[in-house]
Amino acid sequence: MRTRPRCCFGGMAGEYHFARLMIRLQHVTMRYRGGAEALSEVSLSVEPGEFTYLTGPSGAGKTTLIKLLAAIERPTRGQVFVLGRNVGRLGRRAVCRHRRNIGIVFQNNLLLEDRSAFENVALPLHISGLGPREVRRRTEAALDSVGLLRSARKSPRLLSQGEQQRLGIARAVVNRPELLIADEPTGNLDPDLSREVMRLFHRMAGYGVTALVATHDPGLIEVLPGRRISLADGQIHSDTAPS
Amino acid sequence: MKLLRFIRRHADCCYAEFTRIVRQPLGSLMTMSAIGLALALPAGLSAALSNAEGLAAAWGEARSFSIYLKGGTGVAVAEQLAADLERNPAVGAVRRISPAEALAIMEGRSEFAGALETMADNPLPWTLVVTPAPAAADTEFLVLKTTLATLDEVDEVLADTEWLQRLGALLTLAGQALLLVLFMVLVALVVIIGNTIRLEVQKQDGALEVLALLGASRGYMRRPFLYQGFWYGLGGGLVALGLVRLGIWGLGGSFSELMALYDSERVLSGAGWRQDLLILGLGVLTGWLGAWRAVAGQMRRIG
Repeated sequence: MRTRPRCCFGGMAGEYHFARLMIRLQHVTMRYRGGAEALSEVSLSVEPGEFTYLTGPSGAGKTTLIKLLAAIERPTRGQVFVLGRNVGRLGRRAVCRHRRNIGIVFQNNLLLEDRSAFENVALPLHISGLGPREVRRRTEAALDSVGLLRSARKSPRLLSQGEQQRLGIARAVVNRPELLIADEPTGNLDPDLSREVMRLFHRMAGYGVTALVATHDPGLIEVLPGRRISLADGQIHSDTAPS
Repeated sequence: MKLLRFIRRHADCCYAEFTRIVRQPLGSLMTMSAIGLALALPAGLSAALSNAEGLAAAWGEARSFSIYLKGGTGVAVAEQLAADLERNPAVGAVRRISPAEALAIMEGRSEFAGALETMADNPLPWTLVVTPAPAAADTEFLVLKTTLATLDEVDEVLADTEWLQRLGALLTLAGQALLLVLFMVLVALVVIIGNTIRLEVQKQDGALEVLALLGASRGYMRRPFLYQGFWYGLGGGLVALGLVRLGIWGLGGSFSELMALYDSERVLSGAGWRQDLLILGLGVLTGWLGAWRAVAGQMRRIG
């Protein structure tokens, strides 16, 4: 394993490189109101097409970092760039557009139980205003890619936990995002299902999607390829390139 | 293309909310009934006012007045004055009642019979009953009345139109009160519909948060609730119109009987299609505003 340089460019060439980066955090500090610092002076960058694991124990700052990338929170200090945009400064409408351009997988799925699997996956497409034919085509393709096309009409309630998580992944990728971020996607799953979900992420990354997956379980990703950024107490503890 | 897609999205959402309301018939009907009952109050008052105004206008056409000449005035003077009046363009007709005719009329009334028998002479004067021309303006007719009252041979000019003026003033006041009632009802409706939809919004709280995380705009999240408000308001408006129609049908018979006593064939009617449209429009507007109010707080919370 080798440790990656945190930041290495300067001048015009550096600016050009930064604009092409998928994710760039510059001296980001995040302090919740009345709480301790969740992130402290964190700087990192992720290249397009890179598969990155964000690891660390509970309270290390993984979820906060994911929230900053999804513009759910704004940094107290520093700058967060995603797809070349400073997401900490986005207006309300721009935040909506930003979230439509990235795919997010949540630990507890956040599936709507009063809608079918198909309707859940089709949600981002409806939000983006796509026509019904395109919605149908892309949704079926996404469901097929996670092996759930046959369960399209089922309610998420009737699906197993592993299937629910796969449904969450299908929903995250249905809009063909350039960036896929996941916050503890295997948190509620047994080891076998967790490995299955992680393999699914790798398959998605195979289509050129940049992926950032947060997990507290280093054992799960031990044998899987990908860059590993380890957080501890709100700071980057280690950053290792794929072996 | 973009516009077509926009229209399609709204039409889909509108239809989806309609089917959602239809799937919960009891709850929806109760909400619509509450809105309908509230809207029926100003709608019914408006119909009543419209009928009263029509009645007042019809009565106003009969604004005749009586000129009582001084006692002892001869037939020649009375005929001359009547002829002069008939030449006036503001006057439609002049009816001459001689003292003898007046006495005969009085004697025909049992309450005066005893009193008239005690009198040696006929105390009744010449009377001219003047009916205005249909096109005569109120002011023109008032000037004529005032002028007549100053003539030497005229004892008194009596017109029984003051009550009509009072009725007109009362109807104006009722119209203003109606606006006030309407305003209060609309505010109440915004609160009623807002509360109903707020419960729905609270039920959908988790879904709204998910939608926000997936990049849904506030407009997208608000849209179904606004259409829900639209349907509740429209349904409430229809209930209100139905109630008013029912009221008119129920009271129509009694009203016609009352009118028959006044030799009138007037029938009770609704306030007209414009008012009907207004009621429906107000229902929709209050439904929409109530929904907006209910969702606004939630939108702020989600951020």
